[in-house]
Amino acid sequence: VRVAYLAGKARTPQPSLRGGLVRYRPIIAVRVSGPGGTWILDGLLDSGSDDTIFPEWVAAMIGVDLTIAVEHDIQLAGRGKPLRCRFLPITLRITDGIQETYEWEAVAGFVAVPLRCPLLGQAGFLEYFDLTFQGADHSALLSPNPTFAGKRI
Amino acid sequence: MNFVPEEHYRNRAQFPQAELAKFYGKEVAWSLDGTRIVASGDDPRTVCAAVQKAGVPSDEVVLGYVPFPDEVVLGGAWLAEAEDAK
Repeated sequence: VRVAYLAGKARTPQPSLRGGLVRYRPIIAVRVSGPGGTWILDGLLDSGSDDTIFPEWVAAMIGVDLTIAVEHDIQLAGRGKPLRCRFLPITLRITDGIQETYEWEAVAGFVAVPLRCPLLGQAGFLEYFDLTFQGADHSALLSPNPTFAGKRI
Repeated sequence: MNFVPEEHYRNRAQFPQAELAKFYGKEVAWSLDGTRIVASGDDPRTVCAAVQKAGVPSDEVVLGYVPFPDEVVLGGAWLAEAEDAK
């Protein structure tokens, strides 16, 4: 699956871009399903995130019951106070809309903070794919690896 | 309707900035082709409710946050920022 980065235009020149204005972000549409619904969300391909994390409102929208989730504190780097996270299996799907669609079950974490964008991290997401960030092309390539146990649709 | 993410995000990137400015800092629901904002709000739950009220199937929109133009995205730092905001 080829993921074209989402271009966002800054108002003022960005020092890190040597005065450039366009930010390219590896945002991918991820279809999230549970027993009570399906929604498509922007997700950030975040190779620096250990886990795949959604804000709790997503759990409510797809009908998963967080009261039966496994609760686990996640320690944020450089911070003293851990963040309570509730983990449950959900169904994720990505597609290029042309020839590749992959669906699998992932144990994702849900946090009770207004996370701007789900973090598609190693556990539950990137562990199943070989990922290449193609900076010059402003795109990423995701290919299922041998650990992918979901289905190709 | 077939959903082609590359087309969706390309169209979003070309969404008129003057129009998009109305949604900076908001949660929105984009049409599948990325040319229209179907619903918006400060709370994603109200955005979802508006989508449902409009009779649009939940898998025929893409939910996302519209960052301010000079907002810098630092991935997991969102978690810390959100925790601080509580």
